[in-house]
Amino acid sequence: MSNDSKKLIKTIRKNWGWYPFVLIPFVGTVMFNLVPLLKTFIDAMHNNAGTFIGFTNYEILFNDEEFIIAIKNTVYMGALGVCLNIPFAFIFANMLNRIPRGKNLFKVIFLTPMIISIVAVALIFKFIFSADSAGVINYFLSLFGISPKGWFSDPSMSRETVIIMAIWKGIGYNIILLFAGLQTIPSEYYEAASIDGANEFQKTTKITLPCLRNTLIFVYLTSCISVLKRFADVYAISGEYGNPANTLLTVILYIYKKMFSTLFFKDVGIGSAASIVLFFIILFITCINYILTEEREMSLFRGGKRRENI
Amino acid sequence: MKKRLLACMLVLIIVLSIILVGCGNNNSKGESSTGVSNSKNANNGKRELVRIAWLGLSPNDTVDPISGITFKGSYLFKELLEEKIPEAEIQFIEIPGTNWIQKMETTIKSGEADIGWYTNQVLAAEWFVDHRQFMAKDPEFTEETFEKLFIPVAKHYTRYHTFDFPDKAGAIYGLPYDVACYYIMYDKKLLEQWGVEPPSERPTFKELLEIASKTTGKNPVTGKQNYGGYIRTYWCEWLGVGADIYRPLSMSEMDISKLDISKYVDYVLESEEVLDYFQFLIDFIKYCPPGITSDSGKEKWLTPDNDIAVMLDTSATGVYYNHYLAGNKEVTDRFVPIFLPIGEQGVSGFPEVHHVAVTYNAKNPDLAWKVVKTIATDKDVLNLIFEHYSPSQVPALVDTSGLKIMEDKFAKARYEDRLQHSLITDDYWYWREPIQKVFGDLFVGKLTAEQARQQWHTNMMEWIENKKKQLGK
Repeated sequence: MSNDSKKLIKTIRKNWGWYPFVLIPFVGTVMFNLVPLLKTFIDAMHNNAGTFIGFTNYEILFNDEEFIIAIKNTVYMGALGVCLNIPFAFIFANMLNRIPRGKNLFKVIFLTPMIISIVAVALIFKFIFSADSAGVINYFLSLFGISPKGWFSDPSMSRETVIIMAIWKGIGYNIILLFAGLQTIPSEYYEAASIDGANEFQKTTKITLPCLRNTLIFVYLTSCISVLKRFADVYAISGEYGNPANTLLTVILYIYKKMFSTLFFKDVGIGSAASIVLFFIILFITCINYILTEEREMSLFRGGKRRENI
Repeated sequence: MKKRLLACMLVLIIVLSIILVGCGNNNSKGESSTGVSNSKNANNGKRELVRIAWLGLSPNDTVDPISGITFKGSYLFKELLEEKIPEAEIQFIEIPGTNWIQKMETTIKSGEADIGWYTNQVLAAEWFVDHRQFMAKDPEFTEETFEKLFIPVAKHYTRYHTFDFPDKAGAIYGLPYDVACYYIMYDKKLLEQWGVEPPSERPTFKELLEIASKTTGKNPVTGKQNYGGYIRTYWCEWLGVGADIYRPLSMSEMDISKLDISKYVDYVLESEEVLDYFQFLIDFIKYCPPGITSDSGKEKWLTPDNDIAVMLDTSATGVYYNHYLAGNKEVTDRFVPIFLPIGEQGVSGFPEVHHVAVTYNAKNPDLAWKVVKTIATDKDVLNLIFEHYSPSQVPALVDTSGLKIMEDKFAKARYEDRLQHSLITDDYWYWREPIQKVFGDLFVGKLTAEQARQQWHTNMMEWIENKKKQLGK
C-alpha cells in the first residue's frame, strides 16, 4: 500500500466521526435540491401525457412572447431594484452609524417592514397608490395640481411602483448588514484622515467603501439572486396575470401560471423548461458577479503581496 | 472516544428515524394513520377506510364573517355517509382553495386519498380511474343510468374530452354532484339616484353599456364619484360566451391534427360578433374605476358606500349569495342579481361542474365507487351538501324532487338557466388561453377591437401548432 493511501486511511480513521454530521445537510441537499432539479430537467422534456418530446418545450418557450416579456420585466425590475436598494441602504446605514442615540429604535423601524406579510404590504400600498383620484398619493398630487396617476394600474409605471414597495419592504435587511459592516471599521482610520485634512467625500470613498467591500459584495450578490426570483410582490399586486398588460409578469410568475394556476392551462413541461432557463440565468449572473468580484479581490491581493515584497 | 460515541449515536438516530418514517402509515396491512384497521377483522367491525379529498371542506364548523351563517364541518358529512354506507369509515381531507390543483394532485399521487374532487381538469385522466369499469359491473348504475340521471352540461363535462389525452376521449372520470351558476348584478339604489331604468332579468350587452354610460360621473344625489360598471381583466372570456364569439367544438376523436381550422379558428377573422364583443369591452372599460387592471376599485361593492352601478365581475357577485342566505335585506333589497347575457346560440357563462371520483390508486375502489355514487345521487346527502358545503351551486341531477335547494326561487331559476343555457363544447383551452392573452393589452387601450381579433386568431393558431408539436402530430 502506497504512502498516500495509508495517509488517507489514517485521516479517515481519525476523522470518520464527523462525517455523519455532514451527512444530514448532504442528504437534505440531495433530496430537496438536486432531486427536484433533476425531476424538473426531466419534466421539461415531456408533454402533459408524460411522453418524451426532447427540446420541444424549450422551442415553444423561446417563441412565446409572454416568456420574453417576463425575462425583460425580471431583468429590468431586478436592475432597478438593486440600483436603488443598495445605495439607499448604504445611506441609511451610514446615518444609523452616526447617530449618537436611538440606534436600536431605528433598527427596529427599518426591520419592521420585513416582518410584515407581503399581502398586507400589498394591500397597504394598493390603498396608498390607488389609481382613484381619492387615493392617498393622488390626493397629495392633486394639491399641487397634478392629475391622478395610475400607479399599479398604469403599464408605464406599474413596475416602478412595485419596486418602491419592494424597496420599502426589503431595505431593512441590507441596512442592518451594511450597518454591521460599518461598525467593524476602526474609528482611527477616520481620525487619521481628519488629521490629514480629508473631507467627508474622501473619507467615504477612500476608507468606508474599501473597508466595506466584502459586505457590499455579499449584499450585491444576495440582492441580485433575490430580485431575479421576484414573485410574491407582483403576485400580491396583480394576481396570477401579471397585469396591467403583462408589465408585472416575471419569470417566476410565468412559471406559476404554467404550473400552479387554476385559471390557466396547466403545462408542466413548459413550466419546467422555464424553471431550467431561470436556473441557468441566475447561475450565469451569479458566476459573472462572482468572477468579477473575485478578480478584483485577487488583483488587490496580488498588489498587496508585491508591496510586501518591496 | 467521546466524539466517536456522539457520531455513533447520531448515525443510530438517523437510521432509526428513516426506519420509523418508512414503516409508518402503512395502510396495506395493520394499522392505518388514523388508527383504523383496514382489515375485515378490525375492532370496530367491518368498516373499511375511505379517504375523500374535498376542496374547502373544514373539519370544524365555520362562521361566515359576512352573513354570520354557521356552516357545519365535515363531521356531519362523514356521519351521514357512514349511515348510508355502513361498511365504510369515512375520512375527509381538506384541500384549501388556494393552489388546490397542486394540493389535490399531491394528495392523490402520494396515495393519501381514495376519492378526489375536481372541476373541469385536463389532468383528471392522471388522477382518477375510468368509471365505466364500475358501471360495466354495477347493475344499479350503468352507463345508461349515467346518461339519464344528470343534466346535459354535467354529463358532458364528466365525459373526458381533451387534446392532451386523445386516447381517453369519452372516459368518465367520476360523477358530477353540482354545477356552478354565475350571475352579474346591479345596484338598484344607484340607478334610482341617477334616474336610470334597471336592466332586464337577462340584459343584452347594449343594455349594460347604456346603463354604464348613464351612471358614470358625479352622483346627482350624493355628489360622489360613481362608476357605471366593473369588469375583471380575467374571466372576460366567459362573458364572451353570451356574445356568441365561440364555436362549440364537437370531435369524437380529439385529435388536434384533425381540428377543422376554418370552422373553429378562422371564423374569428370574419366574425362580427367577435368584433362587437371586443368593442363592448373597450367601451365598457371607460366607465369602470381606473384600478381595474390591477383588480382594484370594487372594494365598496355590496356595502352602503358602493359606487359601482353594474358589476360584471362574477367573483364579486358570489359573495352576495351569503347575504341572500342570511336574509340580509340591506344587501338583497339594494343589490339585484341578473343573468348573464346570451346571444343567438342561447348559451352563457362558464360551464363549471364539480365532481367526485375514485382515484387511480384507491385502496378499495369498489367501496370508493359506492361512496361516489351516494354523494352524487343520494338526495339526503345532496341536501346536506347544498345546505352546508356548496350553498351557492345548483344540482346536477335531472330529477330534483326532494332537493330542498329547489324550493328556493333564486336557486331554481339558476338551475333552469344551467339546464338550458350552458355552453357544451369538447374543448375550450384552444381558444381560452389565446383570448386570455389579449385582454391584458385590450384593457389598457393598446389594442383596437380589430387588432384584438387579429391577435386572438394569431394566438389560437400558435396554441394549436404548439400543441401539435408537443403531441408529435
